Amino acid sequence: MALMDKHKVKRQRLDRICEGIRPPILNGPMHPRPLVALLDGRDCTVEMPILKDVATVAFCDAQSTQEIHEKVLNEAVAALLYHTITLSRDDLEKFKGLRVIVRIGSGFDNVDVKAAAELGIAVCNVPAASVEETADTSMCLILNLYRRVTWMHQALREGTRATSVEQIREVAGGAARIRGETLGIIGLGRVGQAVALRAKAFGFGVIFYDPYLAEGVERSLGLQRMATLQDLLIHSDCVSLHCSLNEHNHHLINDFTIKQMRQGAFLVNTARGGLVDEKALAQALKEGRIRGAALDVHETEPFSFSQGPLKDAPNLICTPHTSWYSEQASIEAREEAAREVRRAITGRIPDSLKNCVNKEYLMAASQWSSMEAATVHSELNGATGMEHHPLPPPLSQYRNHKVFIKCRCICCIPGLKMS
Amino acid sequence: MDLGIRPPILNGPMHPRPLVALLDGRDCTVEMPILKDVATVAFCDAQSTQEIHEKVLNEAVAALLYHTITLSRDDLEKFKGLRVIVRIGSGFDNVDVKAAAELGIAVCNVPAASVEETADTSMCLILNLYRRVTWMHQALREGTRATSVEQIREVAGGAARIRGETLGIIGLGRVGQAVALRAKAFGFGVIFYDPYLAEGVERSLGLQRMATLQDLLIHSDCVSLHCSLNEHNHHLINDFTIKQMRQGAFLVNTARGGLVDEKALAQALKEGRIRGAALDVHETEPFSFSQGPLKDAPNLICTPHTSWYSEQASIEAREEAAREVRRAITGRIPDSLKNCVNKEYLMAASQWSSMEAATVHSELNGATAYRFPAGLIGVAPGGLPGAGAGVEGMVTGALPLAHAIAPVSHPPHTPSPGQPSKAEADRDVPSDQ
Repeated sequence: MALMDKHKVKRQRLDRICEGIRPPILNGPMHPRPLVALLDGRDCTVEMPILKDVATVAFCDAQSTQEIHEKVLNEAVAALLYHTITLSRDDLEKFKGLRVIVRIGSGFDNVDVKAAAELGIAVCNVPAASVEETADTSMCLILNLYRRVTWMHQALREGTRATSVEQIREVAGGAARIRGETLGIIGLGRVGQAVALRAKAFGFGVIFYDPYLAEGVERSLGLQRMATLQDLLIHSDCVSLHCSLNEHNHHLINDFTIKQMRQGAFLVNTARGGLVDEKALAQALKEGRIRGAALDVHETEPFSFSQGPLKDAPNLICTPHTSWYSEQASIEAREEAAREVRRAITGRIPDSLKNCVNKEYLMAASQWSSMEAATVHSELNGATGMEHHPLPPPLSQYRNHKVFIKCRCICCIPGLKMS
Repeated sequence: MDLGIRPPILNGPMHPRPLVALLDGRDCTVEMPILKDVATVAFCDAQSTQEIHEKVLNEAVAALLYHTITLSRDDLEKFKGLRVIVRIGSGFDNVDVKAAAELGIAVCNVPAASVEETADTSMCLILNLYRRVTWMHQALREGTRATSVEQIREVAGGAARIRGETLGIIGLGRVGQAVALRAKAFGFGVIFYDPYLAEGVERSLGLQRMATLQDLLIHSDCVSLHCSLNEHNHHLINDFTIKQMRQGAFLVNTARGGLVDEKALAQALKEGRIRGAALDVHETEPFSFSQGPLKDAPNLICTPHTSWYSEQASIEAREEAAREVRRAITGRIPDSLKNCVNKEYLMAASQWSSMEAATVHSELNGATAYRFPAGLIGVAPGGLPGAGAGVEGMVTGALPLAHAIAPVSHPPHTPSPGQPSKAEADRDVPSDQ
């Protein structure tokens, strides 16, 4: 963090302290049976067996924090959520006791993870459950663009008959040979790698762009790495997005970058709708600059063919954010999310967590809060500690802990740094 | 032998500019450059031989066709001068190849042009069954909205994990092998059944071979057909064999509609015994969702016999077919042909005809020469056509006649159907079958 940022954060935090908002305290005392809330769903049957002996589990079935009951906002210690609810800074500040948020799925762009860290809330995800489902669906979308199965099935449903070979060629017009085509993967993470290996089996030449990936992975898998996004777009017959959405790549695919793509290229997106400027895409589809697009995710969800910038665009295949789904993947993700919540409740945050995505922000924020602990009014401190009479955490928990800890229990000396 | 029907004579004299007819199409632009200097090319755009002009029936020496016209024995007998039929594509079940051989007509196909297109489409159909993209796109088109995760799970209900599933391939030919290798990349365990394939191919590709069809059906989560249609496997997938499949299995067919009893399939789909089926080929084509035994069946994905198509594959197949016709016209039948599918029948039939040549009335023999337009070629009764100056002078600007009737005493080393092939010494009398 730049020095300017640090000062700014410190000032903000001091402001909030003066307003009565407490600084984040990691691993403070917890209710013996804390409240765990599923925010944007109503089915907790998979999570219950894993959590019922350490927590109370409730569901909110909310699409925004406005719909969340005040009791949950006040008492929830852990929150589970999918992708259908957004937690901005303002949303997060509504929660009074939240310590951990677990995304049941891999993408966490719907949670402001930095703000969460500043409020002392760890954010976790479940990155592994749907990797192959998503890759298989991505491959299915790519094949549907090249072989046109979905569109031809649709034509048959609408009554088209193809009697002669000329009529067959017409209804299948645009179906293309795959061998020799170049598939460009943006983001070579778990899903991107799985897609790359499947695509190779069809004879695609596979190239990728990933500014975050360490050098050499391309050698492991036998792929070609492009140094810039532009390089990838220029060389791809089909572009497939497999990167997460962050503050740097909103509308990655826009009017300008689309014009760097090959004339008549295909576009596939099973990552996040915000990566694609749908107005620009619609225009490109209408003009034929993009020959076809297959999208599982959209800027506004739920997607509808009758609304939004894509409503008159031709050559579209769309699915309603389902590329992740299989019954097994769904259950696996929910079980893993519940286990992460359990680790948070029964262990230490963030050390006991397996997939904490804002760890560095959390550690930085709690460093600041520990430093400011001395300046905080002791009464305020007492108010935060007293949810219920907590059991003092065992001393062993503080071994190897590299951060200043502020805690009310007697086994902990304020300001003592543990090595 | 019926004296009215001539025996087949391979490689008899040919018109210097023979007629080549595209039977069930109208576009010859790809074939023309390859054939125009050796043949006249015409198109019939017919869906049955009834629609074919008599001139073509009488004069065509070579026929090109797709899959949309059938040539039964009766159809073949309508042609008076046909020597070679070339299927622009791989399947030739729409031609009675045995009858053709008996009439002295070689049948060829083009087996290689669409191998990967078909395999890619087959994989696309399999993935559409497992990931339900086609059905979900259709649902969105019809206005379905999936707001919450529960609604998402519902609209995607049935979408299944692939890793660990077993794909059973019936027929491990070119397409079957290509599908097997693609499927492995997704984590399918791949098994196959192919009674004609030599031992050991499964070791080359790392697949598991099943000894019987039943074994394959019992062990497959998804069954995909990649065998040609012949007299032994019509309705291979029928009520009985469907009941050997796993409860809730998938079925994919990009091979031939006749392999599947659609009544039985419809019933199995309605009862859920088959969870979903994806068909590119049907018993009756063109397929329509509003007609036939499948019209009320749920969980269907259908395409109109398009799995073979890409512009490149189409052009490649047409060029290769035209080249095969050219080889037939300018070379020897069947020796010059690259993909003759009824060679054994042809040789057997011509052996018989050679044997009986002596018993045939000489006048008849002379009469056979008049299959060709009178006045162009004269052939001495029972003898070799003159390849020398006498004939050449009558032919304008065409290739010299290079054909000769195969001498009886040296039959090519082709085994009769049903006999194992082995090198044979010259013999004057062909052995009995």
